[in-house]
Amino acid sequence: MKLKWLNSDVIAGVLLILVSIFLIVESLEFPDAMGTEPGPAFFPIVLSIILIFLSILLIIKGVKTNVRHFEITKEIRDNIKTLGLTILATILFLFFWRYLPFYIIAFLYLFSLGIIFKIKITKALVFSIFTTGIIYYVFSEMFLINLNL
Amino acid sequence: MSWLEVLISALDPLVLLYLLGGVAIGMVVGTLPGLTATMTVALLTPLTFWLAPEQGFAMLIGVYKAAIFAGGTTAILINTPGTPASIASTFDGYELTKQGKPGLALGINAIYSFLGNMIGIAILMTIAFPIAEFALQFSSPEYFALAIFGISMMISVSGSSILKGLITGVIGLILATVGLDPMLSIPRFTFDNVHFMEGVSFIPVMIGLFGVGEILNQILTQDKEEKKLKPDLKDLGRVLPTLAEFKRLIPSTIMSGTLSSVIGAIPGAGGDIASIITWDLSKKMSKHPEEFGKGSIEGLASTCTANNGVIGGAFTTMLTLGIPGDAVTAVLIGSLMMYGMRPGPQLFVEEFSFVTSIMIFLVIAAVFTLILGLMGAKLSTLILKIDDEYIWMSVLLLCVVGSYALNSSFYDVLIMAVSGVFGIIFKKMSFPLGPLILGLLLGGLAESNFRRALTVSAGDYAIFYTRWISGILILLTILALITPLIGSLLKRFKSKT
Repeated sequence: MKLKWLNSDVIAGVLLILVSIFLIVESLEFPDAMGTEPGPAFFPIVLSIILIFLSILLIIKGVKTNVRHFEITKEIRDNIKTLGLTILATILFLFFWRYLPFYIIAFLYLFSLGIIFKIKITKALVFSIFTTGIIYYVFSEMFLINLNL
Repeated sequence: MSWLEVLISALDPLVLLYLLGGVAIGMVVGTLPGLTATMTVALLTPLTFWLAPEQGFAMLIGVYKAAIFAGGTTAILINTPGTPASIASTFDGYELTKQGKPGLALGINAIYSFLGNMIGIAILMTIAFPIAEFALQFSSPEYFALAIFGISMMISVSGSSILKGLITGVIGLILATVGLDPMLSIPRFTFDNVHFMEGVSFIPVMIGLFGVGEILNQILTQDKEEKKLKPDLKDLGRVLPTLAEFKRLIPSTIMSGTLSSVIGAIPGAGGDIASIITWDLSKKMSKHPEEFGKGSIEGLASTCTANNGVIGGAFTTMLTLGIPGDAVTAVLIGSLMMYGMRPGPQLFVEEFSFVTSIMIFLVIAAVFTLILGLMGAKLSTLILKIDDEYIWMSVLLLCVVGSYALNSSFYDVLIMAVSGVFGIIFKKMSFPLGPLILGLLLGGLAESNFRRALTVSAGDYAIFYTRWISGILILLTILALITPLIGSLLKRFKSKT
């Protein structure tokens, strides 16, 4: 059965309530206040309660309006694939960064993005080498930052 | 240090070079739709950390000023605002291009952006010092009230959803509680991770939300057909307005410049709001209101004046009260904090020469932008031809390297990446990002002053409303939050009856 009211606002509202409850539980573990000031737990608890209240309003609004923020139209189906591959390439870049020298992993990252974005291979190659070179030079040589993890 | 001495030190060739570099970068960025001034300032901030504060901040000011100006170029040439501030420049600017007068439209953009900037800076120079002097009387209750007032103002102009603005504002405030508690240094939400002891790093969050989030959103929403429609303008025509046209534009320029400076000083109200309001007012003031929206030079000049006039106003609130006037100044506060400076009245006492240098940089940036803007009208049509894909690739790599470079910390990169994912989710769900940044920025200030005030008052909450300044600010906060709510309720009531 398809739940018509189950949209992203409702899901976000529920998730925010769960996070707020978690924060309140965590805050209760903080040491008590000293003197007359309200203590380290006061602000997070008050903010979490406010967030719960606002999230309830968001859920109500979501149920009433049932706006779809993530509707997949024919036009953006291709774009979703590109987006997914971009995120995957970024995750791989961050994962392999510590195993390879920066200029190699950065070049591979840019080149793979070029392929994902359907740029001509020669153009992607030249652009990747050029951009990696500039960024490496500016950060490593000019600002003396070690870009190798 | 006197103004003259500050002026001489601000004219240091290296500082001017960085300022000019910032202007050039801002021009390119502003011309490319999708790359905002906020994103670029966020991206360049870690890079400028390695420079002297004057050099770094000069560069960031150059980027800010030039990007806002250059945003008008795309608005004029392809009916797409390069930055949100130039949205109203499409009304008449693009019409002028269609009429075969792109040169004149670009010339008006350059000249009236400069004039708007000058009016804004004049107002900044006139009122910033008295405001800062007045704000020196502030103590904990006032600072707390000021912080929540700043956040409430940004929420109240959060566009279609005040509720979502409130939620992101509260999320920002909650994020600000991560790390050591400001009064007792007790770790909160650190999960025994040493990296979180100092709190959530502001710069990586900013780069993630405004950089990666924006690029991912562009990838998702790209229109391949629209991309093929790149302008091919061979003859721009005349660039400068005639003397008669210039005279005709004087009243609307003065009105737009002054009003936009005031609007810019209101936290959250940026160039987009200012230029739409002044365009409408100029139309009412004009002897030729029928031309508005059909290529009116008055309409274009008023919007160009306004979206640059707000810069002076935004800097006034940022420097004197530590409250950002718009998203870029929110990021600039983070940049100043990176240099170990906290904007606010104390900055005028402790860093007088730096504050005055900022004002001088604004003037010089405006002059550089005017010159480059008039000379580079033709060049801007070439920049527009750069394919988005190359920009996405460069920006994504810069986001990673920029967030790492600040502390040589891979954790910062992870925070940036997570923020980037949240950036696109928030964008898709129409959650405004401004209040989140503001909450993160002002959360510490709000909490520490709230608790300090209660310590002073022995736990008596009356301290917040019995002192007149904090009382007024709290009242204004309540008004800022409930006014749009009442407005929408009234609208709903009217539509039902």
